[in-house]
Amino acid sequence: MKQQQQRRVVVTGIGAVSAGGIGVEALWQAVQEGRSLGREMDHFDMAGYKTWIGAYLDHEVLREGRHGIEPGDEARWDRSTLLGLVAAREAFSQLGLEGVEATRCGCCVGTAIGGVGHMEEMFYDSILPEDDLDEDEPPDYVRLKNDIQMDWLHGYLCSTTSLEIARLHGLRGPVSCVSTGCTAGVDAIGFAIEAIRRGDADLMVTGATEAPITPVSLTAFDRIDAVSRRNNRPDKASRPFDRDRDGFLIAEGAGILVLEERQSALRRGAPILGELVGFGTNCNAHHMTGIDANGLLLAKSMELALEDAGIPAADIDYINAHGSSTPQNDRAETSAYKLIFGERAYQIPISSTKSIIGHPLGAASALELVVCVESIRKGWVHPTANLENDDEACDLDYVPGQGREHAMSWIISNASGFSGLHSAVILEKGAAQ
Amino acid sequence: MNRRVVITGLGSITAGGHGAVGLRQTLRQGRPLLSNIERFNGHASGTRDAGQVQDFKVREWMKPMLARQMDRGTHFAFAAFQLCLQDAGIETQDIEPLRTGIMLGNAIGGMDFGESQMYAQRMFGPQGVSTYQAIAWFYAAAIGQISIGLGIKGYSKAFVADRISSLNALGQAFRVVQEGRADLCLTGGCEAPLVPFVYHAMECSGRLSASRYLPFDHDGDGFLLGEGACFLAFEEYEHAVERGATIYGEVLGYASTTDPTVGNYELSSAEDLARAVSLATDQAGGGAIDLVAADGCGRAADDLEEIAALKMALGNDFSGAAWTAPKATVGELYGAGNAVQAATAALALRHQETYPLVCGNNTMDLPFAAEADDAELQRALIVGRANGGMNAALVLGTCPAAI
Repeated sequence: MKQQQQRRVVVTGIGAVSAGGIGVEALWQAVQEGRSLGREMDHFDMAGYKTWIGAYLDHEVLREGRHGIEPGDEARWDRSTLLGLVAAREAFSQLGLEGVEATRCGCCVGTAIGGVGHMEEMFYDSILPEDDLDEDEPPDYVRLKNDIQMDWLHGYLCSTTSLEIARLHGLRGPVSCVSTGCTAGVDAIGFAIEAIRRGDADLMVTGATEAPITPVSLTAFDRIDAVSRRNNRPDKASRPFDRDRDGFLIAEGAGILVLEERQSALRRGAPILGELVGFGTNCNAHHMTGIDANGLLLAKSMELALEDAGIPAADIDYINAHGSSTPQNDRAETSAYKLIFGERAYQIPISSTKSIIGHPLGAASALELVVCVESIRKGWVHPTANLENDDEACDLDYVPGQGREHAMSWIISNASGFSGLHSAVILEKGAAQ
Repeated sequence: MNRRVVITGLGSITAGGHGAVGLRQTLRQGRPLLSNIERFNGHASGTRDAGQVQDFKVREWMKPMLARQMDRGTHFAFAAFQLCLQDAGIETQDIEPLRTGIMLGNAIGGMDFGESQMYAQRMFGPQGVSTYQAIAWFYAAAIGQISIGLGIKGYSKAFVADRISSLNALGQAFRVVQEGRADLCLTGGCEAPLVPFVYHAMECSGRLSASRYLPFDHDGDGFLLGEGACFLAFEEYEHAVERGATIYGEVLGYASTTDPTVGNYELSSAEDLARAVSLATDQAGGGAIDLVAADGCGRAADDLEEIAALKMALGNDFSGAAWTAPKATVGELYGAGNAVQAATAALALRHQETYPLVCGNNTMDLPFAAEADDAELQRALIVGRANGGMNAALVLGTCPAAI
């Protein structure tokens, strides 16, 4: 077995911020209830958009003085960094870095678009009001508002969340950011797994964060009809694997995991919540936003993860799907599961967490892995919300309606995204200490 | 049981010309190729010099319809990637899709495209924005376009970490090939920061020079930007030998560290940088470093720290190393800058030569060459430093079988 020859990677902490609220418990409660959290957005003027629904935290939740947010933090960083820091605080157990060298601790938190919101604010603050703009004459930012201290670089960079987590917790090992669109969460986690296995670090803070409810970011998805237009029923908009799905539900959130080398975790008495045994990734070279209907390359990414874990497909008890609620993804994903699991595909429960908390881009797969850690520990899988009408191309067991008890030893969680990227990670139920 | 990783190709599009040949010529001349930023067309007052890509015709590299979907940085990446494949002697049809990867560093994203679209949004509302905004701006855009264009289906990722983005990418490419998840990984970076809004942000960060980019000069006050892309082909040794590839050198060690105590636009302490260098050189099995392809960010205090860090890490071997700071010739390509340093080191190892430094009148006391010169080089070190205290170091060596 491959994994016996190498350093093993366990999960010792999880943290979450989602439309369900702050904390893993709020996330777990939301998926337990199994109702979609989509609602109308009022973050900015929605005129001109074809979609104005999303899943997000109540506005008053993240304010200074709460959840460790200090005065000035909101202006200093992008919201994605705030979300990441809040989730990271929860993920660090009370042990902190006790019993592990700071130089052996790193951080890699992924994101798809990072500090775009922060940057947009700087941009629109620094150009003239609408009426004074000249179509043919691009603005001269320096001349217009030389008095503005445009500190947007630090707020904008995708690596800022990783860096701020490193600062807060005093991590001195490798700090970076994998920014691969909607697979960023699994990809960052994969990077962290590999870093620990090969001995670059004994502890890695990883996962992903996203705050994409901004004018420019919503425009990007709105313009290509990637988001659901079910504006009259936002709670029904995210409906993965349902015949009437029409796009994803944009959302914000952060999922953070603390991963550690198993021996190091045991030595310092860190709680072992599960073990990450496999990571696989590839790209489909097919289309920037599309996915091959037969799911061949998507299946390949999961095969690579199984190979990496050294377990047969037959061992997988549960699938946390990408399940984005776009017509093409859910069909391709279903095909991919059939390719890997054959007839058994019909027996494995599959949930889409996005049916409940929406799709926080890069953060989605990180939050989904947090859900998987809870699922495998509690022996319970959550339902896919809004699965009401059968789609003959999506005929597997997506746990419609109600969640259920289900004992699991191995879970696979996969992600797909723009640029044709596919990634998958395998979680094993951690052996008792 | 790690596999050996060698460099079998280079491709770059910078102010220093196209491809490995263009870059080498530029490096040998050692003159800065920075000039007043033409794209700003007199706007963005106070703008200064930058390394601008010249004689680049997008249509030579892709169909116009495809070009319209991409940011300027992706155009450069698309071209540099193909140049790298050519240099490596790999035809598109010979690519083994699942065993080939793309590992890219990029810090700013597609802001050239993005800025115009944000402007359009203010003028015309959301429906006035290009439908390509979603695929042109984000950081993995170049990976997607290159993988689709050339049919690459292996382990491919984009890294964002300020000025060490591309060194992070090179490090990961090294691991992925070393550990058997790919046989070939083209790695490097792309950046197109000569956009008024981005340029102004860079100015506000305080890292840009008000005059000239003079690395390791006591009067140095910062760097000047450059645009472009640079890729290196990292290939598994047996794979390379089997197909008779020309080998530039071998990748021997990589490490990354952080100093979490410094400010947003400050660089790591010498101690934490030294730690990255020591980890990388240890991994490379020790041995003297003959060439330092330095970061040389151009601010005197920081460059002195870089020297101090290398003294700390290399000890007695320090004085034996030649130094070069190639970014001063083509500009700091920011998220792609370390890839230019790595390409420089690879060229130096292959051709057994050193390159002159862009010098002011008050150069620090280091073994810089005044002219390109023959030299015996076994090992080269690439140093990466980023705002907020992030560091990375990569060690390359000559490949014994190749000499």
